[in-house]
Amino acid sequence: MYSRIITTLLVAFMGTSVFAQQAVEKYSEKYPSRKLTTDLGIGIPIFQTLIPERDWLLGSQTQFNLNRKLSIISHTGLLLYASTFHDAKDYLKTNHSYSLLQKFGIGTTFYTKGTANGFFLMGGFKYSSVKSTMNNPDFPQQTMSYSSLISDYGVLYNLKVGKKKYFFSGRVYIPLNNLPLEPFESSTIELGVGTRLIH
Amino acid sequence: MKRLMPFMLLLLLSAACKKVKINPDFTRELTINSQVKNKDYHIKVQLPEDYYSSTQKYATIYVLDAFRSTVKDFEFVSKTCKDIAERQNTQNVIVVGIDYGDARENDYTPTATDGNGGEASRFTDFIEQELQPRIEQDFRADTSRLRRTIIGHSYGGLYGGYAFVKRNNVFGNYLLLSPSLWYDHEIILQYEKANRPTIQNNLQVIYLGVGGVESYMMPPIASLYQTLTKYYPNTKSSFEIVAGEGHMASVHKDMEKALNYYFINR
Repeated sequence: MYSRIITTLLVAFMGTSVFAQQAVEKYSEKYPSRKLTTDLGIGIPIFQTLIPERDWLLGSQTQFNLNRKLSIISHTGLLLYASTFHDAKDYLKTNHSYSLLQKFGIGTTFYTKGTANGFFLMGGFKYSSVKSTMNNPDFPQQTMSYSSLISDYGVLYNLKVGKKKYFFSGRVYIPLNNLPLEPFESSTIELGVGTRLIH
Repeated sequence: MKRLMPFMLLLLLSAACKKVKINPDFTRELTINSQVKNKDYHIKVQLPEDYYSSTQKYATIYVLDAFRSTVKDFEFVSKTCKDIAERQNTQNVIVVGIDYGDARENDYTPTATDGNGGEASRFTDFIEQELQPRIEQDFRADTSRLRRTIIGHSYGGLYGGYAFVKRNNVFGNYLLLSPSLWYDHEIILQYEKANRPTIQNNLQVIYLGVGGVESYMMPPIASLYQTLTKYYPNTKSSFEIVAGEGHMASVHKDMEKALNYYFINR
């Protein structure tokens, strides 16, 4: 099933790319050229879309267009795991549980009327820290904390819709490390708003 | 950049769709109509590649949740065992995959909570009275406890913990990946405490693993590990954390660690 999901996402990714490529000539003049943009977004892991207990991702992205086709991008995120938001159950309490994400990428952008479709190869790191406590009266209190730093790389599709200075943004990130399970669990979708910093 | 994009995407596509391949010539499938559980269990067996050219008996690894489409537990365990056995130049094992059908929450849980679950005891009866005799009759599987291993993830790990503390005669090695030891107020830890005098001197290998961001899973697992190191002089045990990974993303890395630990310490 995972390969079908990934295949579908990547085929959609390629299809959008081809569509955007065809449309680029027609609309390239109508999309406002932005040199430097930044936006803030909020998102969730895609596989958690239909379940009630969700992780939440707060993200910030900055994009610098080297020219009309080539862009570099930086994405910073704070991923708060679902257990952070729940009360203690079964004598277990999560003290904290989060990951800090920092990725840089390079890619290309295709413009259609009022939109910009960006496709990026991303690479960076993920720092995670968790701490939780078991307070079962039948056993000694047990607190466990753990931190780690791992690499994180994948592909990012970034959509911007807007005119003039402000825009709405939406992005889908698919990690490609630890295949095939990482994309299944850690692909994220974010929605946000942004602004142009330098024209 | 624009010209390179399709090639890069094709490369990513092929990487994303890579499959775990095992040799189908050594795969057998059977269905056991369980009298104990009153249901059919679909079983897959992966034989070592030297099976037909030798007369020796083999250790067995029983894989729970064997046919999950995301994880492909049976294929992954079979492939990893083959790789490790080749790398270590040691005897491979017979891998037995057990389908859970529609009863995972029932078969793998020791007690009923909210009116569901609590069939672990009868599921163990099925394994002990019907599955293991069939495997050991149809294939050259070693019948000794120390040559039987159970591997399970999540509720499957919970069941492995149950087998360890309550039915210690059925398996001699327990590879527990992100086991849900929180279940029913850490009931497995309670069972362990109660049964400790009868099982603590047994020879066994126990691997405990968890993903690095599975916060609430960790304390009960750490607690069990500390108990093992303190009170179980003849048990080889290990507690590993898969850095930065969650409940599902950690499975394959954890399985590799667990199987390596088993092959080295069996």
